[in-house]
Amino acid sequence: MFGIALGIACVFLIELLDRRIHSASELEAVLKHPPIVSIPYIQTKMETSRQRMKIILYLLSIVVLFAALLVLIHFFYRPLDEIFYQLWVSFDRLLLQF
Amino acid sequence: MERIKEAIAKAREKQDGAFSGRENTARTALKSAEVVDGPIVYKETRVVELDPGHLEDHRIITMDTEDPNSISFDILRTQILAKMEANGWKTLAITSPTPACGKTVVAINLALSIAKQTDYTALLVDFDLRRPQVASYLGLPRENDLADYLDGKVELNDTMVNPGVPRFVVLPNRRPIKNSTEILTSRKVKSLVAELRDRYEKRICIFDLPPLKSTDDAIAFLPQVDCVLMVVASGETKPAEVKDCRRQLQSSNLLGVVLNKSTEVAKTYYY
Repeated sequence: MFGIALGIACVFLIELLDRRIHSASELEAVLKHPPIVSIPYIQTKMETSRQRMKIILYLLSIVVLFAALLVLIHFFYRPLDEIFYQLWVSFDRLLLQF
Repeated sequence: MERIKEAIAKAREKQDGAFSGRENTARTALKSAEVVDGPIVYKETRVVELDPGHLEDHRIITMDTEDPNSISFDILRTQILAKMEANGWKTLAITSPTPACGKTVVAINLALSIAKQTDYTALLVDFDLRRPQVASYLGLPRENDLADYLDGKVELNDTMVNPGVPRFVVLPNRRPIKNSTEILTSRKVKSLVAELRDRYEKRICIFDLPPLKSTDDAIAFLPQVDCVLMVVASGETKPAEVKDCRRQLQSSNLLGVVLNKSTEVAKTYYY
């Protein structure tokens, strides 16, 4: 436990010491002079499509994980249809009360 | 790839038929712009058509003036030319503290921007002798280059390439050169720089130099140019590096610093 805390502390320390320039104002603070111009990061088509792929994969993995969770519940906890009917019944009861 | 091959074939054909008058008018016009009143007349500056896809892959965006990112290069170009004109400077070196700051991309985009939008001729020279990249970024064919010229194998005129854009000339390099510091301070390079600078009145020479922190090439070469531009990469360069390089550039005319790969300005230009 202590080790983990130490690790995190180290990461923070490195982050603090190893500051890189991230903005024009930071650069201005170092040089006492603003940069001539800030050129935005130029993304190539390949990078754009790779980024899109990443997002798609991310969403897909969420779907897959959710499906896996359902499968696990179905086989190891209670069959899903049973859960569904139970929910149905309790919902009905709830409606009847009003 | 196919287009590059085609372009090479075209360039070769042109070289062969230089005096048979087969060139189309546009090309002839382009060449005469280069040839006008020079003491040494180009027999032939190779013309190589560039592949837009290849350029896009290497972040060369000023070919297409519609690209929203090209606005920042327009600003850069205007600022730099104003300062250079005011001082009568004609040669500009581009360097950065560390590798991968994007100085070659900035150099090519700036040169293209100058060639396309002003009446200056832009000459881009790849003096990052250990890691030459200009030729591969532009997709230029493997032919005579700066290294061949420095070895005395070819004439200077045979190394120049015109990438199909009027008033844009490249002196590319393909082969890494080991004793680069020695070469950059040699008499041959000194006379080369002087010749490139003085040959035409309306020409801006841009020298792509190695990073300041990796070799002493840049510092050794800088006395030969009028001014220098430093490229700093957002998210990569450390303040200490910037300070250190600023100190190293004290004896040169630092035109200014460019923040490259910035993630904060992307939105502000769309108004």
